[in-house]
Amino acid sequence: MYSLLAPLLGVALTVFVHAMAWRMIRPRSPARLLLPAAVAGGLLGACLTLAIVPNPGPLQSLEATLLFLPMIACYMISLPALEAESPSALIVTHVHRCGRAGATKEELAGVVNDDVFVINRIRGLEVEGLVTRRGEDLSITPAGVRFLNAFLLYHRLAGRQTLAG
Amino acid sequence: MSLPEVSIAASAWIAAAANLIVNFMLLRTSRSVSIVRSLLWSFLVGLVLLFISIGLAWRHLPYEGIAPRFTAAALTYVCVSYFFFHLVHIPEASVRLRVLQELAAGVPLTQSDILRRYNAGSILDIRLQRLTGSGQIVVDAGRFFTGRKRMLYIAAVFSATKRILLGK
Repeated sequence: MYSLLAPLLGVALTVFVHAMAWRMIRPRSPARLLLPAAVAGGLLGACLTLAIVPNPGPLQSLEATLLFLPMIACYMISLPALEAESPSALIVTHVHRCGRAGATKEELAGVVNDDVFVINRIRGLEVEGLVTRRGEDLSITPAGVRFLNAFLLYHRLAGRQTLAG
Repeated sequence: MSLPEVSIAASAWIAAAANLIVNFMLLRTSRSVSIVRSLLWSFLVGLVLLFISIGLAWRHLPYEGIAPRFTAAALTYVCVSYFFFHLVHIPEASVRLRVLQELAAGVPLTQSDILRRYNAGSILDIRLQRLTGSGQIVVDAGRFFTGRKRMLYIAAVFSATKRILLGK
């Protein structure tokens, strides 16, 4: 029971703490709040579960940790989709709203625009230190190169060269 | 700690490793398989392996208290697979990564340079191609209509989650 209850409680508390902090502080980079929220939520979840299931044993404690960490990783990797609009989601939602009349490409071009999908992303990359701006010129930083290579590594090893977007 | 008990704890990670290996082999050996389809197949292979290892362990363990541990193992596998899916899929879909790729050649670009190479118009073209290719939207006489609703449901879930978490 401990191996299921502790991580579920820990993740629920982490998401709650993170969401509250996000709403109140409105940070430029919500991902930075996640680590302290996860530590606080995880520890609190473990302590609360121990009150219900005392002495879980080392194997169940390990199972609980090995479930908690992937759940937090799932939340973390979903954050950009929560934070920013997805072009595909916006397109299918707009098409659905148009119903039987359908939507033209021109109408969709009004919904998918540079400000929301490119300029905003560039600003986000600057805030996170992955891109730097000198006057008009934008350059990728060493952190940006590492970030990019980390995501492209698997594709390169699998022999699939990918142009993102 | 008995071997069946340890095997439950390890089953999710063995299945996740199988997911990774099968996906890698699919992508290396078959050019016609899309990344999303390869991820689906490898997830299913890992899931079958997970159920086999849980089933083998079940026979040797006391019934009481086992269901939560099996559920924890299954949830662990699903979460690791979800993370792996996004890690592999993000490079195909991410606008941020595309901007970084444009800058990765090392030559500084202005915002206008980037927008000339990659802008909302190109995003729209790429996404419409993908969405019509996967049947999420259909084209008829130059107008787009809803097709399969998988992406629509995903969009609704993310939208609802955003409203609950962020109040917007």
